[in-house]
Amino acid sequence: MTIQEAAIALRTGKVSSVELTTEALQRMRSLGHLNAVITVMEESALEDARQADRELASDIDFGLLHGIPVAVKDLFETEGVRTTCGSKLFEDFIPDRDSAVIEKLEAAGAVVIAKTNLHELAYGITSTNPHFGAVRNPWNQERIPGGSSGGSGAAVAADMVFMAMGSDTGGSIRNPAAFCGTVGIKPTYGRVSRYGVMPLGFSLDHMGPLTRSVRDAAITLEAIAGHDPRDESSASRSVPDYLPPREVSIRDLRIGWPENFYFDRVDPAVMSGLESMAEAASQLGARITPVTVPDIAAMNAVARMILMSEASALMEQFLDRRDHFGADVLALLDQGRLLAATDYVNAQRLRHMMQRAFSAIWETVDCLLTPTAPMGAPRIGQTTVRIAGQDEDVRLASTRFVRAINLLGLPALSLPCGLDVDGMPLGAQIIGKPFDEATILRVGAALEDATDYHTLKPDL
Amino acid sequence: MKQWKEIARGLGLNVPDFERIVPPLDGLEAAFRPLVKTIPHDAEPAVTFHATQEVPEELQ
Repeated sequence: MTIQEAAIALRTGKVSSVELTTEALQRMRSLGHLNAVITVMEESALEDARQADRELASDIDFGLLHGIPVAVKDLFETEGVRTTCGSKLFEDFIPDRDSAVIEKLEAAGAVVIAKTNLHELAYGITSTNPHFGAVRNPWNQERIPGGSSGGSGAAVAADMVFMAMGSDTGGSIRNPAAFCGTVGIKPTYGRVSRYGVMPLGFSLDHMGPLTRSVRDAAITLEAIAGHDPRDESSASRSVPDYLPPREVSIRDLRIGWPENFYFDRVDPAVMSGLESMAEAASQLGARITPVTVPDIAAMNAVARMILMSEASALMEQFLDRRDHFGADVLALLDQGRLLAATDYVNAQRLRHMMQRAFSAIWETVDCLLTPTAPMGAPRIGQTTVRIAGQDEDVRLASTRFVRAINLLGLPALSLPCGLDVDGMPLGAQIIGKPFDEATILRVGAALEDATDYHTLKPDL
Repeated sequence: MKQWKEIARGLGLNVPDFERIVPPLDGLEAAFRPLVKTIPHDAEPAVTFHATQEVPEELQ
């Protein structure tokens, strides 16, 4: 069931919010071995669900999220509920405020039932958390779910919740969406408030949902987007209607198909998945337009320079407590401390140049269609992956197609596009113009309607 | 390539696991350094300071 379907069921009396929430809590308990969740908020969730039922029965309706059980990555601050950021440093941190996203979800009547597990400090893509346990992929429990929002991806893929919030600094929403076979959207930088979310890379952090369908992502984004004066990077643009209609059209839309970089080294199943998406788009009347993209590998290097500098600056005050960090995160933080301030400034100068160069693409296409990752989810503990005869670091391979989009601040959607030979999900990425989430959601919904990849479910 | 161990020593940093951190730093250095040479002198960084910015009421 999707949020859209549950919303109808709630309003026709076929189900109550208490029933949906109780079922979600039970499923969370029965699938505890996936380690998708750090904190379950059972008592407050059931109280919120009872209130939602009372409100809906009295024709007080806050919209499609009203009464829907959801979860948030455990770096969104929740007043009175511990927020660990997946770190030993914050294992007992109980915030005295809600993050802006929590405020918006509660205003929309959503029932927040849990805080999901993540890669330590959101700094990595395996979600093999040394303090709260390795998150396991619902499709194959020996595989990673991706990250850093791995618990959110696993929770949505395992049907624990209808939606789970993630954050994305170098692919951390889109990567677990791809590896777990869910939808995930990283909005434009500034579209969703960062207030009350533990930062990793100030100028690269984005907040967005992982969901079971593209339209559910649209519903959630509409609820959480908007200006927030408490976040200096928050955009003042109004929030449009994101929900694609039932008979959505993409006729004559120009969908860019990169001729360089994105298909240079990918698993054959990724290639065929993307080709089937392009074929579906073409059948729907969209124009698949070959494009040459600027140097994405260079953008990835610049993004890494910025992220390592910002993350190490942020965590420097804690680095005397070395036993509080996992080895991989500590190594990244140590690397960042050795970078020069001049390199950080020059990386931010290059960022402006790259942003200008990339924007020329929008003169010829309305969005880009690319893979989200070059392969399916690796095994837990695997450090390198072999793609097209070449060994590559798992982290760098997993973020190869997503990291540069954080540098550019562009909106990007990941949606399922098939399975690899091992039966692991694969993701297609749709990248849009700044603040044009509506178009990528429209394309995603049309492709979802035309294919059945989103109906594939893990055998749990 | 940069002498990372010397840099750490010069900065007074305790970085014990050099075998683990040097290869990725060398890789990043190799990719990043040539890009710096392409920056025009008047290119501004993508972070700005607003002298007129007011503190929102919520943060006062």
